[in-house]
Amino acid sequence: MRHSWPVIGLLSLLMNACSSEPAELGIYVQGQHLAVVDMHLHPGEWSQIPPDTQAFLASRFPFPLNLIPEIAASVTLSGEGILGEMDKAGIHAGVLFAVYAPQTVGIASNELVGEQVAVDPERLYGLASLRVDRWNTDADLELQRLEEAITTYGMIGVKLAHAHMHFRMDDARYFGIYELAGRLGAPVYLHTGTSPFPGTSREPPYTDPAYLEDAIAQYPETVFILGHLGYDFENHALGTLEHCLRLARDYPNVYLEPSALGSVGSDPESVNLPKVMKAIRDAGLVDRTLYGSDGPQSPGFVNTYLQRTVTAMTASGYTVNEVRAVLADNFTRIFHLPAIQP
Amino acid sequence: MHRCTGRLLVFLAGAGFVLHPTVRAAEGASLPEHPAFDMHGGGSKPGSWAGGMQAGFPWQAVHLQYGLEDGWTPFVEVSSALLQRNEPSIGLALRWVDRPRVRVTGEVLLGWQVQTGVLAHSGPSMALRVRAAAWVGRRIMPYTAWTTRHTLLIDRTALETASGTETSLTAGPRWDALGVVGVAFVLSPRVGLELGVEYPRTDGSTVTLPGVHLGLQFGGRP
Amino acid sequence: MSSRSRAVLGSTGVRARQWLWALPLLGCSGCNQTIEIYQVELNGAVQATAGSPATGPVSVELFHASSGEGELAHPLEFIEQFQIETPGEFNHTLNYPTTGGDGLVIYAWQDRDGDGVLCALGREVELAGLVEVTPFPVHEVEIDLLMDQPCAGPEAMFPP
Repeated sequence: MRHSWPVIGLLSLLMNACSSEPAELGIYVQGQHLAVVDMHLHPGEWSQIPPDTQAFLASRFPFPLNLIPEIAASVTLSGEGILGEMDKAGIHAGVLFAVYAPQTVGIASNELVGEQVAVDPERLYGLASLRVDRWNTDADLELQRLEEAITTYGMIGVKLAHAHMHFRMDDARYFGIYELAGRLGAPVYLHTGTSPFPGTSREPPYTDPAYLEDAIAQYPETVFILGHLGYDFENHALGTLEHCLRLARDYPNVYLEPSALGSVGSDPESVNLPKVMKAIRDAGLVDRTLYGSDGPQSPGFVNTYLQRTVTAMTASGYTVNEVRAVLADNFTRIFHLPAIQP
Repeated sequence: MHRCTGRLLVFLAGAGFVLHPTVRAAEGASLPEHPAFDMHGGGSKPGSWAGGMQAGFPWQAVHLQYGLEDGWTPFVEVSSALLQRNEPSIGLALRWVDRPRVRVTGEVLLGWQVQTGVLAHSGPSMALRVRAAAWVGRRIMPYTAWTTRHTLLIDRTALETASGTETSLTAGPRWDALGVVGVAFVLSPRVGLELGVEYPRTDGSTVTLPGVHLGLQFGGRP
Repeated sequence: MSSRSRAVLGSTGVRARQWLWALPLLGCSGCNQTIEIYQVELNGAVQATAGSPATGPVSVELFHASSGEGELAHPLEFIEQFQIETPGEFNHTLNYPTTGGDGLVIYAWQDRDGDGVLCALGREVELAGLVEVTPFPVHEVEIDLLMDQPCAGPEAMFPP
């Protein structure tokens, strides 16, 4: 757009007007300074999002930003933009997700994620992904690319989203992904539950993590992180949370991540996130829970989600050590990274 | 009654009320006939003209009007939000209230709404606007204007069957509104300056951000 | 029961043929959008493999064979879903949206236990099948679809 640069400048100015001082990282809980890792962040390029999803996203932007969604999105979807949001929230480190879902949410390639991680490799990590839409012909090639992304580009795990990528959780043809991930020591993050995006699958074999049990049992060396905890994003309900908790109780290689389900858009009354965090603690699964937001989404979302999650934890009786574990220590342990000092 | 027909009838009733001669301004002393006041209070005396340009975020606009007999003031206007939503219109204004310190004007606009980008749409558009301004000093005039705009989105469906192609039209309404509050200043006998804040409301957008603009008015007698 | 959603933007007004009077004035250059539909009469038979139950509803799902451009090009863009009461002959009128993609793929699975889910956990093994319609587009399509793949979603069978 001819007039894009003044608008980008204005939006950046508005967003960063109060951030001239270096950010103090970490948050304070009951007087103690804690480190924070947000393990669920999305970089991207507007042009790599399908038109229906572009319209869906634009319709959720406030007027007049919905007139220039590409510009509004570019401010936050870059590595610099994401770091800015992390700084405002006091987050030490973040994990950027690659995505290959051309039918639904679009593509954020392994190469793009690698470029964005390089903006600040001390604070940003990447999860790789792969295409599955031509699996009958391209499976070997895609697995090879995935292995390269992990071994060559330094990605620390794998990201999958069956509902977005349209493949069943119990389809053994795709289990080679879990074998590879386990062999390389790369945890696998999986979107569970429904999705609000157009064109996504809503049937249980694509959304209910119970359908992952065969894979979880067959690959005990592979870490499975159940993202969104089976949340029903369409109806703002807990969905298959109980299946996630049962799998985590029954299998030591299953972990939990409560991103997005507690956002203002998905849990407007702030009822479900506290229930989820309490259920995790009651089930004795605090040491299996990793914090993520599913940001950046919009300016301030990353910070708001962190605040809502910490509030839900403290309201559910989490000790400071338990909050510390969820916010950072479980992540560094699972991904074999050095502990982060706040 | 079909929803579109009902809304059309309501709009026509509103337009008739706005333009009915019985709600015209009373004779007598009135706000100074300055382009800034004419632009924001509405209407122009017979033989006078006024124009204005505004720039801001997100709206830009250009407006030209000319006063006729009996208080009628036709005008043309083009407004644009970020050059993505464009609304060219022709309109007719009529002063309702024209007192020494207060002017209230009703306007009817007919035109088009064209929006580009991923949320593109286009269709004929009608709007009703009420302007009100007060004179609080020799050079200062706070003002407000409120617009309700109704756009018709007409979709054409071409159904190709084995025996030929059938075409049909469907129409859906779209509603937008805009409120503006601002203050105008007289710089010289023919030039004014104004600053305004906008409060939009758009169909399908759950949240709207306020806007701001700076404007220049000019005019006089030919 | 397949419930893939499809975001469709556009007006939601009632069909209004009285607006045809506006066509000469507008030349329909003033139309908001033009939606092009290609009507297809689907006829044929959906059969379960020998030895399978002859009764039980069959869910039929229709897809563009391909959609999207560049890196976003992908197979199996969902169009619509309908149900037939039992394996056997059927006919159905499809309003195929020409701007959504190319080609036509027909997928079907038999819901033996009536739970609306293909091979739900702990339930019966259910069979599915898929055919790609070639050549396409044509207004009349005759197909023979055999459901012989256990618990297979459409992505398991297409592209082959």
